[in-house]
Amino acid sequence: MNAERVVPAPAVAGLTGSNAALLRIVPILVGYIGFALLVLAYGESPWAMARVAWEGTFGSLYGFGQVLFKATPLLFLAVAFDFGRRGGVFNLGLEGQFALASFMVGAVGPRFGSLGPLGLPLLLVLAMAGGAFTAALPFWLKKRFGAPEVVTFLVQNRLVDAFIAFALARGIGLAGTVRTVDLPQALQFSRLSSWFDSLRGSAASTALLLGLVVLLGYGAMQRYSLGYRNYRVVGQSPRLGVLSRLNVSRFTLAAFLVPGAIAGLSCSATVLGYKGYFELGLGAGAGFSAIAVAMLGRGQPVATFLAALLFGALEQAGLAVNGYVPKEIFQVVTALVIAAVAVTDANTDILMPWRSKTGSNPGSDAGSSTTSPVPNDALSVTNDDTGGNA
Amino acid sequence: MSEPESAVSAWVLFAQIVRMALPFGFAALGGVVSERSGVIQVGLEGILLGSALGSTIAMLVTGSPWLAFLVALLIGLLFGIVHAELTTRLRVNDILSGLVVNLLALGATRALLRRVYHSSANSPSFSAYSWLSGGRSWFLQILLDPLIWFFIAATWMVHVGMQRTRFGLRVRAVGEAPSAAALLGVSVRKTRYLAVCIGSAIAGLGGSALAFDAGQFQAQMSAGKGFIALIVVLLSGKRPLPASLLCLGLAIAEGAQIVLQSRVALPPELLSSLPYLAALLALMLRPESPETAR
Repeated sequence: MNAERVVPAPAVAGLTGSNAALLRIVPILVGYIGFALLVLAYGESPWAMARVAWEGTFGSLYGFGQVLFKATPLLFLAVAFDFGRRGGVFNLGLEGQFALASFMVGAVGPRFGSLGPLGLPLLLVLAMAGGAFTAALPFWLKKRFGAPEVVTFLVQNRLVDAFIAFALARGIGLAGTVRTVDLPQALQFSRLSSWFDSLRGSAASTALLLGLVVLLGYGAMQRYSLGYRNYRVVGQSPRLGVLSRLNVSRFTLAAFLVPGAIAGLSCSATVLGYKGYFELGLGAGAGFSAIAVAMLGRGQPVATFLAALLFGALEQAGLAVNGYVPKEIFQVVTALVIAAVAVTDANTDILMPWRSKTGSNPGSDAGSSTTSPVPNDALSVTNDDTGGNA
Repeated sequence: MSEPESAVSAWVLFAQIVRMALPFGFAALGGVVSERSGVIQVGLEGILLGSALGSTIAMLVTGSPWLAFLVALLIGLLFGIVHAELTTRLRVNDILSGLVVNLLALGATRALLRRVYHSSANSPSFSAYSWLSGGRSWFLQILLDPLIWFFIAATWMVHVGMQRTRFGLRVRAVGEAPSAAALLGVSVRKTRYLAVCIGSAIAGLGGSALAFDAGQFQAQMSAGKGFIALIVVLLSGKRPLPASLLCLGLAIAEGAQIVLQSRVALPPELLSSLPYLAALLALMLRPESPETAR
């Protein structure tokens, strides 16, 4: 019998509602304090630098366009990460999946020029295939050799980097450069500035709309899809999945390949929406920022979009202040924000005791988590056995 | 190139290979200590980077290698405290915490590099050991390199520490059966905290090895060595002796890469991924799963 049983969805734990919004302010405050201290260390005024950062991001239309541009790949990648995480896979390989897909689109894309209106959709399918193909290596290593994905994803990133550098240097790239040839205009996403003249000069493109569609589609899927509900059950507890006669191995495959495919789509913002070609290092770093975006957004479309804007703004702000203080301090600020998000998430029961009384956050309530049939919210950033036994 | 000359260069290469094993080696040993207690340490990469810059600055300011080692240890310890605080007291997922450590180290080293040496690529260079200058033989080069002795000592100490001491037993207990250990009165949190800190300090010496090998600090000079060390930890079944031997093997792969780059017309971009491929291959060929290893 192959018919799948529908398992009742576990109570969706985590931060929802207005109390949660209160906690979201903490990371932003921590980030700003860290920023101010770092700026002081460089002998600049935190207030003045904050003004420069604001002007370069939300304070001007060009800056806002740039923030949207930086946020676009994060939308895809955050959805990808969240999808994998809920299926029980902590995808540290988004970086490589995104890179290989971008490279494939840049390398093969020019040949799609003759396909007319079909070219762009096919190119996106190619990007998804590239991302999924990249993620297949860690999946195979896990399935066949039991290698944990924490390690193999990181190796996958390195191998992709080496391969791309090799391929670009040996004939696939333009001679003497580390980039591919230009894609025909018909295969590119148009800039948002062609619709809104005030965004002129910024690299935001209609790929943003594709990102929003993916994000909303993911939100709808969480709400309405029974298959996705089963998938989450398997992700949270493979044993429960087996007992419920769910096809665990198929869901595990999905938890590896689907995020890869979605990550591949992010090249719409960089290769197809911005440069029009692929070059070495294009979009690097987004795969890791997206993890933070996903943790902040917890799969909820609006929260994920806002989180993507925040991280897009952090990156753009780094460029804005680069003339005064090194842009790298924003990597430190980003690390601080991620840590603060994780800490507030994992300790909601302590920071907001009135919430844990309702039992709405079993992830950090270690005492009850051992007895409940579905032990932990897969999305919880709690290190469960540490919390429970110390 | 005449015959005797190439024989000499082969020995120098051997000395070089032993040196190349050190960054992996220290990082892997540190990873073993941390992961034996049940905390994954993805932050090894960041620790290597941070302590490499730390020991470079110490060398350029004071010129004393011993002080540079101390600084590397302390920076490793500092990152260890961050990781331990986040994962034990603050209950954050250990992979995420490791990523935070990496990002912190990446940003902080580059920002510091620009602040102190006004460069986005590398620091000024220093000469590693005053007693090694003036063309010593390969044998003396190995014999007089304190880091190599530290590495041997660290391997032995981790091995004995894990097998023979009370603390080592506790670390293994909280790693394998945290609830049972807690029932016996061992504090899971404290033990893990200490193990992560000790492991990170050991890994910090790997940063010294990186900096001393290059004679300077280069941005992102860890180049994924911390991630390779993670594979080594896994392959070794979290045991210090196999981990150290595996690192030697990996260094041979990297040495082969350098030799091949100069002699064979193979593309350098692919050769640079040789250590990763070697590690992956070893992962596939390992005889037993690490969980069953003692």
